[in-house]
Amino acid sequence: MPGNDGYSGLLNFHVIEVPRSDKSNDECEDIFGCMGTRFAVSDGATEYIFSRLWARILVSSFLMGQNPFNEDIWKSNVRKWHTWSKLKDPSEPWFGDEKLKKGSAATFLGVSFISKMKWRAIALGDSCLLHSRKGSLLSCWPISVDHDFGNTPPLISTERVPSDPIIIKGSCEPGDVMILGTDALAKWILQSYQRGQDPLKLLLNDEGGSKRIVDIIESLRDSSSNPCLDDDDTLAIIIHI
Amino acid sequence: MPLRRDKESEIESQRIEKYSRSMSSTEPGLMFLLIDQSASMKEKWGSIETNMTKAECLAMNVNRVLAELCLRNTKDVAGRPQVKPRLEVSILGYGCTVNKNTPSGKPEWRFSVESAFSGKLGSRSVVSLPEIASNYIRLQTFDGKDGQAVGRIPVWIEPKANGPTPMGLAFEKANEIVSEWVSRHQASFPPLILNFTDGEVNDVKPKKLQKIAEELKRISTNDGNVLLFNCHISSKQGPYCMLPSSVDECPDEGPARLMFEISSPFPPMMRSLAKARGFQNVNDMTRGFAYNVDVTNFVHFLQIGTVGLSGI
Repeated sequence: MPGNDGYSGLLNFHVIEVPRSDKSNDECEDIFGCMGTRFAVSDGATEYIFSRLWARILVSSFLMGQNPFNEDIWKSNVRKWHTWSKLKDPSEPWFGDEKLKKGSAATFLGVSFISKMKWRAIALGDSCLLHSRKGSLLSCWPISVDHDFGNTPPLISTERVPSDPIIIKGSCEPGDVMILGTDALAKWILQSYQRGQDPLKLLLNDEGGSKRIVDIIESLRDSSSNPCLDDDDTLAIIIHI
Repeated sequence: MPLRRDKESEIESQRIEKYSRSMSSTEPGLMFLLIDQSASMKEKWGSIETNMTKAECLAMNVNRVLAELCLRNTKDVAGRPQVKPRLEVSILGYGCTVNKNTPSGKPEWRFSVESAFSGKLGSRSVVSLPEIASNYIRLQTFDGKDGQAVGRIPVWIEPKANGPTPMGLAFEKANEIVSEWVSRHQASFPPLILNFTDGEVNDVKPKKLQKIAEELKRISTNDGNVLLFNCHISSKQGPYCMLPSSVDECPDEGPARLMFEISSPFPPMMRSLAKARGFQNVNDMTRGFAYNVDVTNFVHFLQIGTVGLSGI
């Protein structure tokens, strides 16, 4: 569902969603959601099974006003995951049974606007909230340095009570842009700002081009682009304040 | 001087851009294992309680890694589990075969380098993960004894141990297979070769081995040169090194320094994985090499190489 425009309560937003090159849209494990003034993204971990389902459960939970890191809420969410993550074929090969035993895991980032210009965010992992003003990056959180994007971010798992998330509050001004991005796009946006570029012009097609967002993302994944976008599920909610 | 800084940053950016491709179904990676199957692999290795030989322990851990790689790449597709073909695997065992039916009646030994897979996969030089997942020879159940985790692990590799150590021949055979593979996968992350041995090379002189290894490492995809990591295992106590950053950290004995020289540097994602496992001294000079290591460090080496590769 690339490039959907929308309006949520007080806020205009734009969503970019492109799966990694060897996946269909149905297999994309980066999930987003918004309801009223609450926005969330979750990146289902590639090495687990039914990660898309787990990410969707976490996002839905947050949009309903819940804190997915609360132990009781987490237990309820894990029950949902077990109920819905049934494999269809009863005579599954060994890897289906073994994989299910490992459960699932995902990163999580939720942002709620608590008044017109104040927001609060909760996160675990490398999905990031980027705050931009007048073409410059004010902050990237919870990761602020591109080298800190790695292969083993902290995850909220179905198998262990979640560790404490990181919580932050902030304020914004009219004209600011807030971006909730999963790791690949968040890292690319951060690197672009660090190199003095304004990545939003390209992503929002503000330069008068007629390219589809899928084509733009694919061109950024080409190794000759600088910075190069990692070939991973790619998701961002771009909120215009 | 500005010019020098520009040059440095250009070199730096070129260096960073290598070894950066993600593995995918359209651009899979290649993990290449070389396993010493010489006679000395029959010696006991590891803790006394498990009472395993080096060949048995190596085979068991390779089977575990193959299972782990299949599981890591298993996804639910329309509610059914499916192993994604993001990685291809080649495993060669090197040792000797013996022919007892000779005209003279004396058994003849012959260097042997062949697929270490048993069963259907034994005739294939490179196999994809989905094929591996479906073509094991049996399921082995672990009941939690001897410190092993409970569960069922498929078996693909059986322990073998015969004759001397034809490592030069193994590198040459790897060169053939890897050259053919990269000709079809120029956009992929370059092949990673992990060589596990417990002995000195018997078929070629050290200089010749170095030349063969350099030829192997010259093979490349657009994402960088072939990576060659070497792990020398041992049941004897003695000087050892694990992931050294200079030749001075290697013991001055046996083939240690030669094997350091022929080992590739660790790419960045493996450095971070190594640090996460407690190897804090790992840096950008660190080579994929270990010498005289025990079971624990062998498992670390195997996991960092294979899991590090699959996490790309």
